[in-house]
Amino acid sequence: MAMLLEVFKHLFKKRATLMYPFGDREKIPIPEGLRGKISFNRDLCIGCGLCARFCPSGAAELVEDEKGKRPIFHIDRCLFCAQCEEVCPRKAITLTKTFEIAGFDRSNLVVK
Amino acid sequence: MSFSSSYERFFDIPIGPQHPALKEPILLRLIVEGEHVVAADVDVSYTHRGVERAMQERNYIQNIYLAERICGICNVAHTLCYCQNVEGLYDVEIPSRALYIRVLVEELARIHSHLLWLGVAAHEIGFDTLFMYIWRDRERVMDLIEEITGNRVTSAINTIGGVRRDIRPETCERCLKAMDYLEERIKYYKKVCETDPTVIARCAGVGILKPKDAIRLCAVGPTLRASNIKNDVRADDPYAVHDEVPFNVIVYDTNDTLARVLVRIDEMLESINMVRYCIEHMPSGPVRVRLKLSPPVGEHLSRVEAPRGELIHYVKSNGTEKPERYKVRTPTFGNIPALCEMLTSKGDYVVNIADVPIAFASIDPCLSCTARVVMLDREKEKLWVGSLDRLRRWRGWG
Amino acid sequence: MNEEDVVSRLKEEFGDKVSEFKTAPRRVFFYTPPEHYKEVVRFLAEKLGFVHLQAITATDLGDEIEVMPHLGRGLTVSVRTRVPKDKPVVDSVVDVIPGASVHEREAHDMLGVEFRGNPNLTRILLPEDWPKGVYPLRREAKLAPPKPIRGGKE
Repeated sequence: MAMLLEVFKHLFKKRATLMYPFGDREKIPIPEGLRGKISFNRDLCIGCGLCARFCPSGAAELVEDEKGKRPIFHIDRCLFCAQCEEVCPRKAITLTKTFEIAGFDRSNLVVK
Repeated sequence: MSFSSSYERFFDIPIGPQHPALKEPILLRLIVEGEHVVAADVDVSYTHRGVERAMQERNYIQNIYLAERICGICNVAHTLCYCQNVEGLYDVEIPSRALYIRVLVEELARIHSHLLWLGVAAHEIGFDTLFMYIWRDRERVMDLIEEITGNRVTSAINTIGGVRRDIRPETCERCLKAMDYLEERIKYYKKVCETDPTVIARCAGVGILKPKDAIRLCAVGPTLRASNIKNDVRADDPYAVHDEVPFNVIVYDTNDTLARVLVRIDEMLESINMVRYCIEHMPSGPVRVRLKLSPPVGEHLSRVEAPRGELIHYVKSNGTEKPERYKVRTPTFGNIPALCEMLTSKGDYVVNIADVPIAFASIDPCLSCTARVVMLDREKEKLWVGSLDRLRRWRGWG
Repeated sequence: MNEEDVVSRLKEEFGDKVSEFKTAPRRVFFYTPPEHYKEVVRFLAEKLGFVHLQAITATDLGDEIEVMPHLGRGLTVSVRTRVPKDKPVVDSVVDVIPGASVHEREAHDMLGVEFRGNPNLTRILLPEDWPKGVYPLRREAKLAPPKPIRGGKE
């Protein structure tokens, strides 16, 4: 009973739900500094292995390629904690604002 | 307790582990006589994940994120307690700006958790309109937390040595505007809860816990403060900058579920004032100190007032980069004896089966926090169904 | 009362039955042998006013198991006691502080500590069909690495 007046007033107000993804996709406020998908710059990497040592879930794995050691990132194991970004001495790892990464194929979820 | 010879009088009813009235799997074993609940026991083994043992296998930095995932709603409290614990081993001083940011995010998380609980409690008594309106207002707090820390849940802003990010002036402005909006809405919800006849009929006089029992059974958090005992870790054992930020400890003296609702609403209003104080008095300076990976040998104990009560972590280190023993005791685990006492009918005080969901929800149970001890490789869970045979072999509880 | 008051009251009441004192701001740690454990806890709860039990921590130290209840609201006092691993029996404090029941059940489940005098040491955290005698937090229990549930195409 105490809420009747409030509920009646809400008949004339705008809807509070954003109809994502059917039309209101642009209205979602995405702040700066959102921790999304990892992006990696191969040229800055020196192969120190700190990202693999401190990753909580084993998403960063150290492998060899023609220029030396480097990590590859398994996004399906990633927690988006940004510990690798913080600990990299050459700032080769950044977390972008991409958050729509669901898919059907696991091989799309590896960042090389 | 002995049973009479007419064996049909007492029935053993299991509620859970999967039940529409419960949000997380838990088994509540109720002994009922007609409509009244005579005794209760609780089995919390359905969400244990082996966190304490898992922490012994990972280094201190990886453990921050494991501690955070003990509970999604109280994640700020767990990381805060963990980081304070490990910093106590190093015995180092944390910069003042970092401590103010820690208190700011902790109080925002407290507002979010109490709004979540208020909505869930309204849903438990069937008042879905209030539930929807409260959760719409909770989105303002989630957006603020996302802007400050980078994620809505699992904020990960605390690290060993301080906080990971600084807070910008535009964010502070938005935060103050959101606090004004929320204060007006929370005062409105307080008026609804104090005057609406549905809420009063379902909550007043239900789930009574007397002050003597609350002390004897070691209850914590709003469950304790709704029984007229003035205890709060932020006031008794201050951590971060809680000795500089002023606030009041809220107590009510009616010992029932309605008192717990009002304690949480008033705590939200106190948190809003604390957030405003932190933003206005934030000092400048660095936000973290760099520390070595392996702390010195020793042990430390750290306590924090999580939204649900007193949270305590204990660490013992042996000089390597992995802890030797890490113990977590969450507030819901500490409230289990008090819960069983609340659900027992004695003398004039009767507990109906219909009162069980709201009385259980009034201690703000967070089962993910509760059972986090070792796992080996078990994947199967079993559903337990009560029987009269079990009743005859009943030997007591707690 | 502050930490020094607690230490001096304990020393004058128990003499050399308490030892290994360590203090920090609002924290006191000390050791007492298992025979005097219950009377020390009773003294702390009834005479000095530490009625609130926060937790009971049990640690595996190799040959011994250390049981440590933490008591108090503002100042925290932790009482350490050590029992041998092949016969881990300690007195229960449930009649002094009834809220200790869940913590003793947890220590019993995880490390196999027997609390003499506790009427209800049943399972609380492990499932009912867990094999008897396997205590997960002891050092000899082995941890199997997680298996992938659906084999992915890696």
